[in-house]
Amino acid sequence: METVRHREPVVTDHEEFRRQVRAWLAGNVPAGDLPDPDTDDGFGAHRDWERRLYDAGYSGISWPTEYGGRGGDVLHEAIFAEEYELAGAPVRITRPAQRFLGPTLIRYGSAEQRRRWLPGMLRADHIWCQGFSEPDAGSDLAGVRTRARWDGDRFVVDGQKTWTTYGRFGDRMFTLARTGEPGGRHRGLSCLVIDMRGAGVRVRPVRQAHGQTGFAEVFFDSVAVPAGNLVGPRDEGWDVAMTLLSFERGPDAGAPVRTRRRLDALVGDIVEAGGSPGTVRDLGDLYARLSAFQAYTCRRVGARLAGEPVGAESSLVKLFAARLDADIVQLGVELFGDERLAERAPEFLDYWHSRAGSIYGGTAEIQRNVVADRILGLPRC
Amino acid sequence: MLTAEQVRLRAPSAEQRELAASAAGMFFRPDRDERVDAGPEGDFDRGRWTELAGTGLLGAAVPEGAGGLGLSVPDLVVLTEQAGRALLPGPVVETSWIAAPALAALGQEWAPALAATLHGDRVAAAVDATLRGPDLDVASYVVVPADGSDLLCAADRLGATLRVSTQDRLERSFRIARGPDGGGSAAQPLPLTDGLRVLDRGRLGAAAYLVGVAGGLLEQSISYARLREQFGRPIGAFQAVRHRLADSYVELEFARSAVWGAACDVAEGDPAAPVAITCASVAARRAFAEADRHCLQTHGGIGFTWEHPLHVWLKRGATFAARYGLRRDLETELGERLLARTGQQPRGRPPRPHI
Repeated sequence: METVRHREPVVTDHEEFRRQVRAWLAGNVPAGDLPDPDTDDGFGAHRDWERRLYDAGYSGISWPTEYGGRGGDVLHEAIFAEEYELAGAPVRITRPAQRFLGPTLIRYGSAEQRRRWLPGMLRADHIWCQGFSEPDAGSDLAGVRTRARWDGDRFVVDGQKTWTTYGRFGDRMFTLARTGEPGGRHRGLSCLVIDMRGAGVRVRPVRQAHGQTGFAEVFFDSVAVPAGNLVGPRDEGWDVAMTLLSFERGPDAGAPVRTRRRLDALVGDIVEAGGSPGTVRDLGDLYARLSAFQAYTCRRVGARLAGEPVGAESSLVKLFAARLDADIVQLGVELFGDERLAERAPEFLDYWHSRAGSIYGGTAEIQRNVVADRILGLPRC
Repeated sequence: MLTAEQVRLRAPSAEQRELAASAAGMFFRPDRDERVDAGPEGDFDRGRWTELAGTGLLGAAVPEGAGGLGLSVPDLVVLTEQAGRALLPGPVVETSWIAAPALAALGQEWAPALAATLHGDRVAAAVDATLRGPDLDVASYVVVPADGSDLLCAADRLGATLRVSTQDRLERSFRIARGPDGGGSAAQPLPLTDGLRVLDRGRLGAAAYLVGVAGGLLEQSISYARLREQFGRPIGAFQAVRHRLADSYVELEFARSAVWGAACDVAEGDPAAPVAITCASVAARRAFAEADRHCLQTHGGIGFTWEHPLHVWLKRGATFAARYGLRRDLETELGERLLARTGQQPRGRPPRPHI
């Protein structure tokens, strides 16, 4: 059993909090990059970094203090995200846990489950993965086929998950599995926490177009899962999954800062190359779109702070931002050619990752359907 | 950087939502077709203008003590977007954003002119940098952007010399014409209003109006896509159609936020507000361009007929997309600013992706 350290809640004064965060990051963000998180050493270094954040009280900014969080509000979370990205701090390997797995457990987990799992999540003692997508259930999530059979005192799980972020290093998976009849669509699904280090679990890292193995395929062969690892009501996992997705879709105030850094880096390259008269207008267009992205994010954080529920806005953000980021990167390629895409170039990963932006977390086509269904009220297709 | 005050200010308040709803109620006249407000020869509809004056819109940004509503710039954005959505005719942006606040700023001497303008008895308009503006032939006062100070011209004499003909403009119901350059004898230099030059005010107001036009276009297209059936079902059920409308909505919402954010910058006295206004103007033009393309396509042949109102929205949008700066010029301005800003900073690197 993890011991939970009760923390002092975050100071309520937001500007004071920003000053604290900025000062701490200035003194603690490693100079130069940590080693590649795609390697064992690199992942370990990122895990150590997560512990430092946790120990300094900068993990789970808006989580309740009883689970090791900082008890802040949406704006504290947003301020931290802005400062973190401005400081160019390392990639967060606890990102899925921080943004949506933990908040879902806080909402649906039993008191015992929350005590058991949450602090280890924030400290990166255990790396948590999301197990929703399957080879035959990608855009069509209700087609999940991984089977969890009840065996008197436990579930027995068979099936396969895919696109599992950090799967290679994962300790726990928040899994959507079918406990009801096959083909039951949204009915008869349940959320189970599976120990990825246990018997019957096999992880196969998947190498992506950029060469990194950021995600994996995960196979379950008669994996025993204790009854106490069921999160939320049995057979009603769809509602839990939808709540999880709504957390995943909450505002990310770090995103416009990242886009700004991307654009600034490109403009820096252009200035250094002596300018490029033909691109002035393109740059102005990108600048205007970035400004709209910042304004939209600010408005969303305000709405969340005022207690408005998360709606389908994240689909708008995905559609708008994925295209903006891809266009910034693409302009760099048009200006500087294929040399920029060499494997060792800093733009290499950014180029390929930006191309994935219209696919991961729900394809652009699915996002458009979400907008059409839930906001525009168009007839279903 | 997000601050608590900013974030709170930037979530539209319940009052502002109410303001939008009540403005929509006042501006939309189901018994009236804004398409026919100008006759074929393009006469100014004085009755309709007096009606609009009665809504308080023209003096929305004028202090209460001077006979206006004393609303903030974000509030005025809310009203102006509704004006665009309802395709209100006449110099609504020019009067409410530029001329009426200018007359108010000139003090007691101009109080009678302001009162007559707010009642709709006299028309006050403005031109942009191309010296074009709406309803200049009937305007008593025209604000002209100029080097140094912007100018207010008492322009009673214009009516005799200017002819506003349908031949010179994109649409019948918006009477745009080329006006004076401010070199006339009765030119009065103007102070800044809310720290802004006339062109910036017009830019922001026109962007809000354009967002309203794009929103109106999209609403009509959604209704049409729900009703119109082909192959045995509403066309809005086909992804080819729904994705067009979703894309239009995305651009619209981001443009709306950009305009709103720029208005909040003005209200906060941010010295960089003119840059935010230029960004918002580009965003509004992008949103309209997207709606323009997809909404006409969604309507198919019927949208191309004179009988269907769609073409008036398309034309009004095109008119406003060309007011207070063309998209390519605004983008160039922003691009140059970005290059100048970055030239003074150390070179950065793109962020490492979350993988």
